Amino acid sequence: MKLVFKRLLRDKRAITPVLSSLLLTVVAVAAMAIATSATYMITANLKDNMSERAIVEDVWFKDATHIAVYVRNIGKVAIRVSGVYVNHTRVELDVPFRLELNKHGWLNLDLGYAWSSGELYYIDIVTNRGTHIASYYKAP
Amino acid sequence: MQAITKRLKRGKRGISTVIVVMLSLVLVVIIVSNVVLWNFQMNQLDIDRMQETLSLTNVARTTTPWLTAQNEFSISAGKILSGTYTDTKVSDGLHETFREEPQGSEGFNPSSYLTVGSTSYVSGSITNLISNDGVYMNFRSYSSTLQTDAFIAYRDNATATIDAPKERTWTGASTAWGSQDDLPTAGSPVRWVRVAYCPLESRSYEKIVVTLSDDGYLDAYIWDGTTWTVTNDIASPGTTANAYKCFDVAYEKTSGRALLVYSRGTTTNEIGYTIWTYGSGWGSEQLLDLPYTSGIVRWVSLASCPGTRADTGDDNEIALMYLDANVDVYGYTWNGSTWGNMSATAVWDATAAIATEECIAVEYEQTTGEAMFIWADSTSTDFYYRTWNGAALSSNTLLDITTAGGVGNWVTLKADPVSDDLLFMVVDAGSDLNTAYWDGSAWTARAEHDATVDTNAQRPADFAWEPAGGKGLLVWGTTAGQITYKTFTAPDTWGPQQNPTMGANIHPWIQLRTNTRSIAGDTLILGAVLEGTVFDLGAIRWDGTTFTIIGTNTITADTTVITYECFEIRFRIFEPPTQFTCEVELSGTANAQNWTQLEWTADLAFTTPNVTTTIQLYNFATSQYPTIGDGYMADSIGQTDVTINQTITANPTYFGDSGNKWKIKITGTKTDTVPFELKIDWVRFKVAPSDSCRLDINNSFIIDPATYPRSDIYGIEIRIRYNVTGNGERWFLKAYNWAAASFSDAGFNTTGGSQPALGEWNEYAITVTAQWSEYVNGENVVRVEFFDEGLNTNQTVVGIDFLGVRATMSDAQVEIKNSSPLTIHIVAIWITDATNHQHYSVDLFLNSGESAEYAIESLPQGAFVAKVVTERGNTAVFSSG
Repeated sequence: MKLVFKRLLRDKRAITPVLSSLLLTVVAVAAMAIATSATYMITANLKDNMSERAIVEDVWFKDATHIAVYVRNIGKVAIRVSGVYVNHTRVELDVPFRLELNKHGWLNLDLGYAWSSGELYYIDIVTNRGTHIASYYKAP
Repeated sequence: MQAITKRLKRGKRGISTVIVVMLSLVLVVIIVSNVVLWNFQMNQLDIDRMQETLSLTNVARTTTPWLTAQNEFSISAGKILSGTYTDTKVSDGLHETFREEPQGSEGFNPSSYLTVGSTSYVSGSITNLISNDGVYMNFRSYSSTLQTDAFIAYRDNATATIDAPKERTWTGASTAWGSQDDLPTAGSPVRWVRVAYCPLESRSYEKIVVTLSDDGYLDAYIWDGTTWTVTNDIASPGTTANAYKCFDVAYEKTSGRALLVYSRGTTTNEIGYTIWTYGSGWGSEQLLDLPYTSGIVRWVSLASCPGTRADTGDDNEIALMYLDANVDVYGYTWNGSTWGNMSATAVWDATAAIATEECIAVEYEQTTGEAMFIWADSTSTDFYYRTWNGAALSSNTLLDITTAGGVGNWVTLKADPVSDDLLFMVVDAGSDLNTAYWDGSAWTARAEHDATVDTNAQRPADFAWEPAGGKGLLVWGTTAGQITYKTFTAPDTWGPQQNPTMGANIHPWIQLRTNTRSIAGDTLILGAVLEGTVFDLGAIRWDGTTFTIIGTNTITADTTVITYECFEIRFRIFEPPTQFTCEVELSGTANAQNWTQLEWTADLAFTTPNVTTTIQLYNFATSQYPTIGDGYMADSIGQTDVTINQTITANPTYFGDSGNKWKIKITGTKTDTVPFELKIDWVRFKVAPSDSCRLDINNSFIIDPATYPRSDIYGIEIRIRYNVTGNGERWFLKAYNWAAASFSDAGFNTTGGSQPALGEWNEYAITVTAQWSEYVNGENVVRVEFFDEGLNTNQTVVGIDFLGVRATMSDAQVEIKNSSPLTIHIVAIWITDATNHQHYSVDLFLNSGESAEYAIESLPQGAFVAKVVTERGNTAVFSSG
């Protein structure tokens, strides 16, 4: 080691290559850090989209204009309902509806008009990640 | 390697390049591995979800175990044949055997009714008496003022003059003739007398006397309740025809007008008639020219129609029959305004028996309202008759009385007041007395009664029916100083001839009249007997049992002649109403068992207060309605329904005849001046044992209150497994309703019973939910009754293999089966119905192939849907149907 160090001190060209190498290393590390962060960001969104699962446990045609939908989150991520469509018509939610992991609850819909007994209703629940939970339900 | 190392040592860019490549590779690996890993995980989740298979096999409330009998069955009907109650604990074929027995009681209602006395039907039908439901059968009362009065008008020379007819009144209550009253003079000695009573209740006091005197004139007297008003010489048959009873008087039944018909003693316009109208008196003389006869009319006979034919055309009909000096017979009918010849366009008989005796008679059958005209022909033993039904007159038909000793001189024809029966009596030229009986369709002549009656120049015989019908009395004179009689019971039963002493001479005129009212204890028949030689007019009486000679000259001792029938008796048709009575006899048929007990019941009311009511059950052993004790009930009943009944345990079979028929008489009597109605709601004749064989058993079942508290009970289920040997009837389960204190199946899911198949075990179960608490007492005891429908008359044997009770509890069990190769995690159960969606959070793991039950608090009352949800998002559904 002493021999290497003496050689470096005696070598008149020694500083430049070292600096060059260090600078190159720093640049490479920085570039990789940026790449790593971007990779993380990309894979996290992808993971959430792939992990979103929810089911409708029950649909209750309540009073004349209301339908209650019981939703259970069976996925790996929390879900947030961004929109509900009944027969392809958007139904505005009074309060935001969010279900954490393994949570469940009633999603109350005010149709604004009276549902008809015996009729089929297509209910489409859309999450903010774009997942659709949709099916037909027959009014009692 | 050394070469590579040297090259690297010589290369100025080697390290950085490697680092960049290495880092890039790391990033790529990270990205790819992330994607692959998460994708794998979610795919695994989806695959697991797809493999999950579960089912809801049942959702039902929990129940207690079957609770079975702890003691022997109590038996209300039937008996145990074999086995014990322990054989009913398990469905194993080992059973307890019972048998139906003929016991219990059976109720019967009347199938027919009969009005008694003059009671009249108003409304309702016999079927209204089946139940105590306020739907009535109504009957109207009649004036039942005790005993009926009568009067007699006659010729007498003892007071006033012989020109003045006399009258006496018979007082029914005292059974005595009153004092003699003188009527205004007729201006000439009275020969023939005819009388009539008004048929209208409103003028029941009104009576008419018409006399024919030596001077050939008719004199008419009207009693207006206070005085006699005479119309002297109202018509003149003349001094030839007055040798015969050539007139008659009769009332029109409905209008209350009187029709006097008489011979005018002429050969044209031979008959005259005049009408007496209340308020306006006698009308002027009207003439009836007889186109098919031409002799002077000698004998006239009238009869009032009872008005019982279907139409109203006969309401005021009066039949007329006459016999003239040429022995011609003919007849007419008066319809209230005109005479009709009944389409007879020729003389009926131009060779009647005799013109100097009354050998004609006419009368109406009292139920059909058909008229019978009958007369004696000139051929010995021959009599002819014609009938008139309102539409057609029959042809002359022969009645041959072979025992007659000559042509008929004197005939009478009397109608049974309650049937179509008639009795014809004839005294012939040989002084024989014969009768013939008409049953409504044919005549039957009877063997001769007497061959030597007192005379054939007058009519020394007469017959009268009793007012209740079916029986009568024949009286005649055959031996001087005696009066002879026989009783008669239709159709041909004559009592022994009796010959009580009466006077000392023959009896050339005998007249009998039937009481117009059928009142218990009243005189049934009154008679007047004119004795020859002394010209005494005596009186006789018949009360249904005893023939009483009131006196040989009770009416008068001085008629002075026997030539004419110078008297006539009539009963009053209506008494002034002081008492009304309604009497109805109801009859039915019971079963053929040897009755050990009977209970008879009537529910009735009247349209007026305080009616003295007796209800009697006929005793066939004594052949009468009891007046005390068993079979007799009495009460004062008003306008409110009263149910009265009586239970008879001593000799109940006495109250049914050999055909198991029974009859109940209801009598209501009230002292009043206006009639009332009897309203019968319900009549039942209930006997024990019943005709049907019954089995009725019960037992108690205890739901352990410590294990199954009353508060957790949701409902009750009762189940039986049984077999029977007789079919045709259903079997029922009921539970004891502790509040109502009786067995009931109200609120149970089925009440129609079980129709078992023969020769096999039959399962039958009933359940109750909403009203279960009425059937479980405070100690959680349920008492169950099992019984038959009661239709069989044969003894059915019943085997009970199992009889148990169990309670359905409020909570429910959800049965879940995992048929998948994975363990599943149940996270929710839903119970939904029309009104509620109930969510239960669940944390239940089921290994592959396992089943599990999960308890929930309650189930809806009606149909529901159950649903379970797994953690992976699968569901299974069960519908209660």
